Amino acid sequence: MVLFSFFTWWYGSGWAQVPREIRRRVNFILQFFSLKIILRTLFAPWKRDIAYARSTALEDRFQALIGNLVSRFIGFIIRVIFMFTAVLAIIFTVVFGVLLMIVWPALPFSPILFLYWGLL
Amino acid sequence: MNGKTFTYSRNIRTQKATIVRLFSKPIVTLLKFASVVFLVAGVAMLIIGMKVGYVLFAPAIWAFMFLLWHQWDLVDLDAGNPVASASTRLEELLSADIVNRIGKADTSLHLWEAIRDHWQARFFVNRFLIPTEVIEQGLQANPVDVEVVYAKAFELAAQTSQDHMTAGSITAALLLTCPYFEAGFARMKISTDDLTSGLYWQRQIIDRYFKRKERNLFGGLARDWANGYTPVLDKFGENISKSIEAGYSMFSDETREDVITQMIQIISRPSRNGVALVAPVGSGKSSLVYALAETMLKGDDKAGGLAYLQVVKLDANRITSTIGQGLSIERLMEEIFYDALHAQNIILFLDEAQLFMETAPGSIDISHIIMQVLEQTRMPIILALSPEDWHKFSITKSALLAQLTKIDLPELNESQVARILEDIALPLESRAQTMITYSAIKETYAMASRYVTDKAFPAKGIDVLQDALNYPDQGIITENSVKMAVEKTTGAKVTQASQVERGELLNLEELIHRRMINQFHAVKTVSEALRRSRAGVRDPKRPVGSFLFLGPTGVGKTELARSLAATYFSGEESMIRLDMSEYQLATDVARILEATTDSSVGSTFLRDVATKPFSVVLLDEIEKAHPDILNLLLQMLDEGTLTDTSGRVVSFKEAIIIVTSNAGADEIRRRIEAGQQLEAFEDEFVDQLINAKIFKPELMNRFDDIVLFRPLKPDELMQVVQIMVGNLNKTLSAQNISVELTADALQMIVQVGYDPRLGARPMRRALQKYVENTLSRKILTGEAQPGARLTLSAADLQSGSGADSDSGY
Repeated sequence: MVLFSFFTWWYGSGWAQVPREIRRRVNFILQFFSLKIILRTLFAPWKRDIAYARSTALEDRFQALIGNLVSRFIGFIIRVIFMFTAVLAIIFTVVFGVLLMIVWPALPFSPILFLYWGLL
Repeated sequence: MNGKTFTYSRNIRTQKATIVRLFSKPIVTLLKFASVVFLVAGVAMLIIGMKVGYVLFAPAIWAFMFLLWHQWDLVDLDAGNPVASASTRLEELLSADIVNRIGKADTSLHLWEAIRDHWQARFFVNRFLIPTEVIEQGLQANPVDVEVVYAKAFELAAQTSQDHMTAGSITAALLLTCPYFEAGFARMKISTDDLTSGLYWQRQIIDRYFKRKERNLFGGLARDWANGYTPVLDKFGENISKSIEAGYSMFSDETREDVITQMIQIISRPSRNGVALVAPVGSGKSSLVYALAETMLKGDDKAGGLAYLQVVKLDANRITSTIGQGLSIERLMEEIFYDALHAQNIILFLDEAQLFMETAPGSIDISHIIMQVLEQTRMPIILALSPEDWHKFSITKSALLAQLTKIDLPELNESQVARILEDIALPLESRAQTMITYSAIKETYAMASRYVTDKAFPAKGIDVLQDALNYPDQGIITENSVKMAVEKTTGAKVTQASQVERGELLNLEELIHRRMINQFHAVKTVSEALRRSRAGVRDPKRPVGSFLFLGPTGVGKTELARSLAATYFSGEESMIRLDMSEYQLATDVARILEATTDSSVGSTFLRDVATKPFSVVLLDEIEKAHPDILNLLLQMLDEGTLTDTSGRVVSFKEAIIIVTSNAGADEIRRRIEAGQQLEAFEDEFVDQLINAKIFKPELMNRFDDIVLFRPLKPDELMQVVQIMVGNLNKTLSAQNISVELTADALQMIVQVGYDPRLGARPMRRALQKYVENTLSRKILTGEAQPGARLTLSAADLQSGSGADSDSGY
């Protein structure tokens, strides 16, 4: 009874569920790394660390501009590194998921192969 | 029934349900552990060149496959909603944890036997205090067709929005369909609605503790990277959103989702986005803001454009404590608001906003700064205010209030309060290591709405339920625990009368007569009102009793009120007296209705009643009051409430209202002296008062009874003196001295003290002059030592008091 139920699921809705699980995990990564927010604020100053010109003098304005550009640059760099990590995690998840999809039908019988290799 | 026929046949779901039961949580954990161990060991063996390591991969893969099956499929057997799709197949309709247990049950008793150990069945047994044996007896004596039970369970599941028929819905259905239980339920005051409500409670528990939920990431790691730091704000405020994120508690408030949506809409507006939450103290204004913070943190569609904004509650105490430390409040507030504005993800919350809008101890008036911020920026601010404060500020700070959008929190109804109390019951139970019954929850609502008037729901319900934990009834919290808690905190008698109290009630007349002489009719009338109230047969919407006492001065009208307070209420201090001769002008109406919440005014009439609802309210000499005040009295007697100047309703429903008047006193005396019996001319006398326009007929009609007091006869006055001497002895008992008067001494006091116009009142002075003075001399000269039992004659009093020989005696 157990085996019948198991195989019915494994070759039925179980196999179909793999892509759904991949999508769920990718969504989790997107949320965990706040990718939507990161993309929206990619060039925003880091922690809104912005400077205002102390006067209208060109020098002051230029200083403020440089300060803000540095803040934006730091923000950009940190976000890009973070995005890169997220992309790696997504790639890993998708590759693992696709591999699982491919080996899925053979997986229940693979232990026989391992037993054969181990014992003979 | 709806004509449905339910069928049952085993299918793949029922098979899986059996497997899930076999693989309990510990077994699954063991499998997870084993698969990792086999995998690691296999790899390790291969690395050191042992080919047999491959063998270990086999169990690791099998365990991995089973775990996938378990997690992706078996634990989710209750996905789908067969109740909504009106299925009649029990193998689909029944929840997975019972589908194999009861599918084949052919009698109602078998059904019960199959589920009686399930926690959801035990829930009804425990929370409704219905013994298992009684259920078995009932189903044996009066079996119900299982089809009828299933149909009812289906109906209940649909009614309580459950996806499946659960052990709980089957239990409730068994209890509701078996006629055997009807009489017992009636006796235990359990209705159909109660059992359905119990099922709602159960669904709440399942949703909260048993359903699998996706982990919420609250926006992820980089959520606040584009928002500024808030160093000053952090020092003077509490970030509610961060507390929620840290997992302090859940605040989602299903009952008020519409208010949360409304707040989100207002805050999202491009201008005028300040919100004022206006509701009485205890209505849950702060928890609503917590729920809003939680909604925004989740960042889903409900949060709209406010996703991931954070709510920071400003702390008035911390701000005021900086006064005098160099930095001006204006400057500090500027920095706080700058932080919040600069960060761009902050909503400021001013809980008890009056603390930021007036100059009083612990408060600080920064309303002008708040107004500037609201006018000049898009900074969202939420203020929580009571209606009284809103009313007050609408006059003094109208410009600021005009910047805000007011949201009046609707009052919660009984089922909403029950949901909240049920929710809070579980953590309370685990803290107090006890169990709270359904009747306790129900009683909490009833008792709190009737007896707690200084707060609103849900706070007052939560307070009462928490207090009830101190009064367990055989180890659990029942309706009696709740009643005990209310009795202790309010003084109202709500528990079933004890043997002693029942004795007191039945002999109330005798007890009162120990303190006062004659006036049998009056004593009987008020005693009967109390007995009616205690037996629960009075109209709960009106005061316990309302009486007009008419008669000359000094015949015991006030004394009866005082005796009643001392005998049956918690003491003479539970009498609230108002001398109506002090309210002769139309403008005095405002003094009676003075706001109960205005702390600048000391004791006020309505505040006394609000704090001591279970009391004797004595309104002396009513004929002297202004007619407008008599109109207030009409409302008090009719509706059992008065509304103070701030709009707060004060209840008189637990009070006895005694109104006294000397009007027509001379007429009563004349008729009694002419030998007429009091009872014979009562009606005629009342008519005379109405005809003479002393009292309006509508007022007279409002009283439960109008009682005439007659002047006391000389022998009754002697008894009054004896009571007074008894009271004197109580005072003297500290010195172990007692005094007794001879017959001639008693007569002397009556003769000296009696004044036909003033009744027994001057006798107090006579007693002082003759008896107390004599005694004090004897004590000071050492004649009366501790242990002395003095008997004083008229001659003793005459000589001992130092009274002049021409005093008339």
